[in-house]
Amino acid sequence: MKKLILLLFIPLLLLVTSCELLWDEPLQGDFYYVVLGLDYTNDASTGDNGNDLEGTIHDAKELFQTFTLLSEATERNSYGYLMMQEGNSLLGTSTFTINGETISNYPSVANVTAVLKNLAEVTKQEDLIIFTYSGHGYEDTGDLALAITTYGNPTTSDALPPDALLALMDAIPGKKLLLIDSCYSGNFVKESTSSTSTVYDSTISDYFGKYFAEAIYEPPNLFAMSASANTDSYEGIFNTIDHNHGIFTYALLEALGWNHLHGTDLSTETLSTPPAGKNGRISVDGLYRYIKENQGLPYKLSLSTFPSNIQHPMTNGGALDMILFTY
Amino acid sequence: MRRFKLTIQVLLLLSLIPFSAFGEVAYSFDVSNSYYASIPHFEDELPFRSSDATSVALGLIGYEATPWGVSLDLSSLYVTDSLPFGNYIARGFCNIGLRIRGSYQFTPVFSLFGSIGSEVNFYHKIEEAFASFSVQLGPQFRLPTSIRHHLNLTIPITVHLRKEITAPMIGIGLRYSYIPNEEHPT
Repeated sequence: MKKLILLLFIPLLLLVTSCELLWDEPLQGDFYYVVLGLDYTNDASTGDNGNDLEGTIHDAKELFQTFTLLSEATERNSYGYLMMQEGNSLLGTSTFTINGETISNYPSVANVTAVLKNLAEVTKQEDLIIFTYSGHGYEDTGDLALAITTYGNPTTSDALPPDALLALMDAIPGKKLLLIDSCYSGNFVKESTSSTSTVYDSTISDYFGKYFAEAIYEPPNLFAMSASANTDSYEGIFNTIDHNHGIFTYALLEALGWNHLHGTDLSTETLSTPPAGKNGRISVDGLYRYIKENQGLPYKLSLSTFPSNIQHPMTNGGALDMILFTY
Repeated sequence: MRRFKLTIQVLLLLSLIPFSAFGEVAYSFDVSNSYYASIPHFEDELPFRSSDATSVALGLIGYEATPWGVSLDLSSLYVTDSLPFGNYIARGFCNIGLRIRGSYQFTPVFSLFGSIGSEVNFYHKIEEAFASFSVQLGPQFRLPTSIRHHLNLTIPITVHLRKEITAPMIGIGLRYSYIPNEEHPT
């Protein structure tokens, strides 16, 4: 009987002596956040029939303030870069200096590229870098519609394709997260080498096929979370707050503890306990689940949701979830 | 894909072997709780990450004789997120699969059991799925029960084979078997 009791305690003993409790945790580094928002009022297609967006500037300003407050709450050194195209101007309203280079905050392809290339020179492996985008995404490809540099219609040189942005982010040392609130943004979420998305069509043979495939799983240091899969994404006016947001970003802000009933001066706002956090930690999966369950649109078509628009957020697969903040 | 089909065919073939020729039909239910250590095949911040795993299995069909027993089980496993450490958490998941289980009785109380199986796994928080295989071995101890109702205390030692992780598990469980046609001794 004594042997039996001893055996009962083996699993408990292993848990108590597990690796997590005996090893020193790696240090958390600095926090960099690049926040983009574009309203497209300076391109040729203005007016009700144009492609102006009314929620993206709110998205960007409130996300920027949320990250600022989060960095204070988590006591990390932080560096924020708010890049907005608002109104009719083709110029930014201020500049940043990164790695000795002065860059305008106007979110053109050249400026965004310059910010990311210079961040690659100053960040370290233990840092966290978050890039957010609120704006249009091109149909099917998901290319980001960045700010035009000459008046008229946007051209292909004003677009930043997913592979180009992922390559820029890949070159930055540290742990990185893309938060893309635009149509067809699922293109930024690359397929895992070890698991298969069940959002897109997949079968059991795909799961086993991946098991035996040669591609090797690498620990991810770049995660992406997108507003939609291979469909449009939407913004809406939220009556309680009387202004627009992207459906995805509205839920994301809420997940991070942002108070939607805020005043006009965002700098006086405070965060509540992030509902997407668990045991003092916010992870990519925690955010993803909160957004999926709390966004203002259904994430899949069903009899109960028909004929509503649907918007399915996406994130990367694989064995690991990334911790973003510890508070 | 061919290997998957082959695995399923082998499992089905094994289930058709007429074990009834040497034993009684048995139905069983198995539950266990284990420590789950995710040993990565990639460079991680830790040599392994710890989770808790709960397994439930239903013996769809089985045969028991002395000293052998075999069954085809429908199995399911629930693995929690790992303890948070550093920048990552090993994602929790649940799975469903089939396994072939066999046991060999050394004494009226003590026997060894083993199983092989294959599963489809689904992460809890994200919509991604993956395939895996598992191998299990362990001792089991017969608790005092009736002839038709068997209850065993099991100590399953399992290796969960995933593409990017090998996960040894050790735990404790109970296995109940019902043998409807077992005759009472006269």
